[in-house]
Formats: sequence, structure tokens, C-alpha cells
Amino acid sequence: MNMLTDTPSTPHHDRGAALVVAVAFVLMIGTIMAGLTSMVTSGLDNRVALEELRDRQYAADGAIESAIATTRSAIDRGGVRCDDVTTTTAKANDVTVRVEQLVICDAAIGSTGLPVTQISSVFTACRDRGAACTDDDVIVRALVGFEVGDDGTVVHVPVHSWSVTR
Amino acid sequence: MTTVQRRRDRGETLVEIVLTVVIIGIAVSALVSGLATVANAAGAQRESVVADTTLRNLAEAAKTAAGTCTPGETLRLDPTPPEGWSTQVEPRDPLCPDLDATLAVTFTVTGPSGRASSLEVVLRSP
Repeated sequence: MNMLTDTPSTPHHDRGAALVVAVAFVLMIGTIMAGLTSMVTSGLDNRVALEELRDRQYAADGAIESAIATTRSAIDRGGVRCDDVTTTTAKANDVTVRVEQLVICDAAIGSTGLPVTQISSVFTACRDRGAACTDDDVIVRALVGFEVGDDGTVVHVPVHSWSVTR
Repeated sequence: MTTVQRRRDRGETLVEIVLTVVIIGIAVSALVSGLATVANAAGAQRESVVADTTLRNLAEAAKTAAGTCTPGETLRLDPTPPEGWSTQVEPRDPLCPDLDATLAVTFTVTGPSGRASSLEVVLRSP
């Protein structure tokens, strides 16, 4: 553009063009940074949530393992009754877990051919909130059998199912 | 166009360019520092993922080992960490628990940045 021969109005159009470009550039950079920051923040939040989930699941897992060991000990001492419902709590990974246990007894034919009582237990673990576990907050549900030998003690503890729900 | 008008145009352009350079400079420095922050955060996140995977592997290996152990014997754990990481097991050289008891084992992994993550696992003999 020849500034000396153009009409006086033309330079006015050019005025501020570089500034507009700079402002647009700043806005573009700002948008990119906002997007990146949001992505990183969201990623870190997800990681924290996943770590909490892991801690909760292993706490529930451990609470049921403890309940199984306690039940085994109770059966050995003859202290378990059919249809018993018991509740225990256990803490691991800074998570307190409530375990509800239902004892189910059934008749079965033992290895000697004689009828024996087959003891199973349904364990339901959820985060302890001071109230009974609901279906919505169950973390682990397990069905465990307790095979009792001729001497009345548990000889084998088969895990029939172990469902991690959340 | 008079000489006075031309001088006024030149002055405005110079101020405008200086202002533009300053604005772009600020924007670029903000971009560079922002990208550095994002890179650091991505590194921390990657380390967190490796820590989580390592802890889960250790926990599952311990549960598998507990599934075949005999009460009173040493629980065989192989806490080999990824390169650049360290692993700590508490208690050291744990024994398989009795049939009516459980054993709580805490694994701690420390990453290259020094950040440590822990996971407690409760084990039972079969």
C-alpha cells in the first residue's frame, strides 16, 4: 500500500490490525491452556477416584477373608447355628467395611456315604455407614462353603463365588 | 498527505508493534510455563498409574501365594518393582497365617520422584 497516494481513509483500516491479531493470539493461547488444564485436572481426579476404589475393594476383600477365618474358627468350636445372621466390621486402607453374614445349612451326602450337614455362608461387604448394606452399596458378595470333616472341624473352605460389584 | 499526518501514522504503528510484541511475549511465556505444568502433571499421573499397577500386581501375587501356603511357613512374595522403583513389604518375611486367622500385609511402592503409595491386603491360608 502506498501511504502517500492512498486516500486518507485507508490507513485508518490498517490501524489496530496487529493489536487485534495479538489479542486473538492471546485468546487462542488462553483457550488451549484452559483445555489442557481441564484435561490434566480431570485426569488427576480420575486417578484419585480409582485409587479410592482400589483401596475400598481390597478393604472389602480383606474384611470377608477375616470373616471367613472367624467363621471357620467358630464352626470348629461348634459355635455356628444355621440361619445365623451376624455383622462384623473391619478396617483396612483407612476404609471401614461392614460384613453381613448369613449361614445356610443344607443336607448332603458325605464321603462316608452318610448324610452330613453342609454349611455355607453368604458374605456381603459394604462401606460401613452404621446401617445395613443395601444392594446399591455392596462392594463384594461371596458364597463360601465350609466342608466339615468327621471330627467336626472344617477341612476345606471352597469359595463358590466372589463378586466384586463396585 | 501532510508531513504531520505521516509522522502521526508512523508513531501509532510503532506503539502498536511494541504493544503487540509485549502481549505476544506474555502469551508465549504463559504458554511455555503452562505446558511445563501440564508436562509435570502428566508425569505425576503416569507415576501414579505405574504405582497403582505395581500395587495391584503385588496384592494379587500375595493372594495367589497365600492360596497355596501352609500355616507357619514363610509366605513366598516376590516384590520385584519396575526399574527405578522400590518396594517395601510390612511385615518383612511374613509367615502364612493359621487356618482360623488372617495376615495383613502392607505393600509400599516408591516412585522415581519419591512419591510413595501403599496398599494393605488381608491374606488367609486355604
